[in-house]
Amino acid sequence: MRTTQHEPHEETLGERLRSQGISRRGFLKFCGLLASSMALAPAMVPKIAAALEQAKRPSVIWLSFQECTGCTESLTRSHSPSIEGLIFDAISLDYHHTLQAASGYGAEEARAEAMKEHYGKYVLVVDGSIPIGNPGFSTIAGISNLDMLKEAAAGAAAIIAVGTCAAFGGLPKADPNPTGAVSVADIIKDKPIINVSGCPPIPVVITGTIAHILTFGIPELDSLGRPKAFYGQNIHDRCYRRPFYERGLFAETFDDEGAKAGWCLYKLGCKGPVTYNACATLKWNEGTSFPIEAGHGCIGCSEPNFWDFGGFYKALSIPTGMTGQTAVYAAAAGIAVGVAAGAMNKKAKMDADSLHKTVTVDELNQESPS
Amino acid sequence: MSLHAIPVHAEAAVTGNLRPVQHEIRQALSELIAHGTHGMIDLHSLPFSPQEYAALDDFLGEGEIDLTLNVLGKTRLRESSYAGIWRVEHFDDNDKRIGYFIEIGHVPEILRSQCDDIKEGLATMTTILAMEENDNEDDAT
Ligand code: SF4
Ligand code: SF4
Repeated sequence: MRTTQHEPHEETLGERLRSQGISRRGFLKFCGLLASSMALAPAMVPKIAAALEQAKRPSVIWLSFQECTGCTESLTRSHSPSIEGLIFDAISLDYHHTLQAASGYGAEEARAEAMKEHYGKYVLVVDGSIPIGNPGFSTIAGISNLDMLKEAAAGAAAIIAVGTCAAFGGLPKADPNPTGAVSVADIIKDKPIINVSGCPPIPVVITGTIAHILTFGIPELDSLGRPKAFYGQNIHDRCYRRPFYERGLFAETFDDEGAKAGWCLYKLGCKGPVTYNACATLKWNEGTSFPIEAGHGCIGCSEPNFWDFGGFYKALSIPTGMTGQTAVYAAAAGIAVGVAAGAMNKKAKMDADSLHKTVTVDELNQESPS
Repeated sequence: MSLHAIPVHAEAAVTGNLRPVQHEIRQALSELIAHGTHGMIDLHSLPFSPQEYAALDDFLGEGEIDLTLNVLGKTRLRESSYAGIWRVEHFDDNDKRIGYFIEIGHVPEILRSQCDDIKEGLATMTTILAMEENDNEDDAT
C-alpha cells in the first residue's frame, strides 16, 4: 500500500530514543536490561528490540486520585540512564496533574484534548483509590474521582492501576475505610485492567508493564490482575535469606546476633512468604538492595488489604492473631517438611485475606496448586 | 556511606543456584559447537549470594579479552578462560552494575556492528563518494 505524502509521520519509539542520542548498541543494551527486568528469557531480546523499534509512542493519561504521590515519586526519582527513565521519556505523557505545568482548567483542557485525539488508543494510568462514600471526598477541578475515572476509561485502550491503592484500595481502604475507597477494577468492568501493585511499585515494574503493552500487548496476569512476569513469584522464594529459613535460623530481635549474621526475619514479622512481588530480584534504588537486605521484613505491600494483616511485626501474614508460640510452631513445621510458608495454598490465603480469619499451620504447609 | 560500611556481616549463604548455572553454561557451549546457537544467561534475575558470584568467577577464570564500551554508561566484556564464554556487565552512569549476563558465542551481541548502522553507513559513504566525484568532475571541467 502506498502512503499519501501528506500523512503525518508518527515517531516510533526507536526513532525517539535515537533522537535522544541513544545509539543502536545503546538500544540493544537497553532491551537486554528490559528483558532482564521483565524476567523474560534473554533469547527474547531481539524480539523486544524489533517490536520497540517499530512501536508508536503511546499517549498516556495519568490520573491521580486518593493517593500520596509515592507512586509518581517512585517512577520519577530514578536516575538516568535507567530503563525506567528511558521508557518514561519515550511515552507521550499528555496529562499528569502533579507533573504538568498547566493547572486547573488549563490542565483539564489538555486532558480533554488528548482524550479526543487519541480516543480508543491511549493508555490510562491511575494511581490512588476512588472514594464512593461521598463524591466530594476527592475531586479534581470540581470533578469527582468517580466521574473522571469513568469518563477517561471510556476512551482508553487499557488501564494500568499503579500502586496498591488503585489496584486494591490500599491505605484509604484500610479498616474502617472512612471514604468508602474502592479500586479501579471495582468500578470499571469493560476494559483490560492491569494491576501494578506495591506501596509504591518498583519503578521498572511500572515502565516494564508499559513496555510489555507496547511490544507484546497486555501481559499475562495472575488471579489478582498483576503481570505474572513481575508478580509470578513470592519474595520468600527468591529471598537470599531463605537458606537460613530452611535451617531454622531466625533473628529474634532487630539487634541480636542472628540479625547481625543476616538470618531469616520470619519471626520479626516478615510477610515475604505470602507476598508476590519482584523486590528480591529487581530491588530498589537502582538495584541497590531491598528491605530484607536492609534488615527489615517484607510488609507485604503488593497484596490486597496488607494494612489490615494484623501488624507488620507479628510473625506470619495471618490476618488475625497468629503470634508468638503459634508462629514459631508454624515456622518449625515449615522447615520440618521442607515446604516454605510461601508455598501455602494460595486460595486459603486469599480467602483468609478477605475474611480475616486465621490460616492453619496445615494450610500453610500445603503445596500451592498454581 | 557505602553499603559495605554498615557493620552487618551476613554469614556465607548458599542459594543452590551455582551448580545449575554451571551446567547451563556447559550445555550452551555444546549447543554453540553443535548448532552455532548463541546463548545468554541472565545472572541478575537469579538469587545468587556474593560467595556464589565469586565461585562462578573462579570457575570461569580470565581470558585474553577485556573490553569496555561506552554505551549508555559503561559495558564491560570479558572473555573467560573458556573460549566462547563471555561475561557481559552493564553499568549505569554512576558505574553501578545494572545488568550481568553470561553470553556464549563467538563475540557478545553488543560488540557486533548493527545491521541498520551498516546500511546507514553504506548509504552515507555512497553519498560522500558521489559528491566527491561530482566535485572532481566540476574541477576538471
Ligand atoms: S521469611 Fe522473609 S526473610 Fe525469611 S527467607 Fe522468607 S522472605 Fe526471606
Ligand atoms: S519487600 Fe515487601 S513490603 Fe517491601 S516493597 Fe517489596 S513487597 Fe513491598
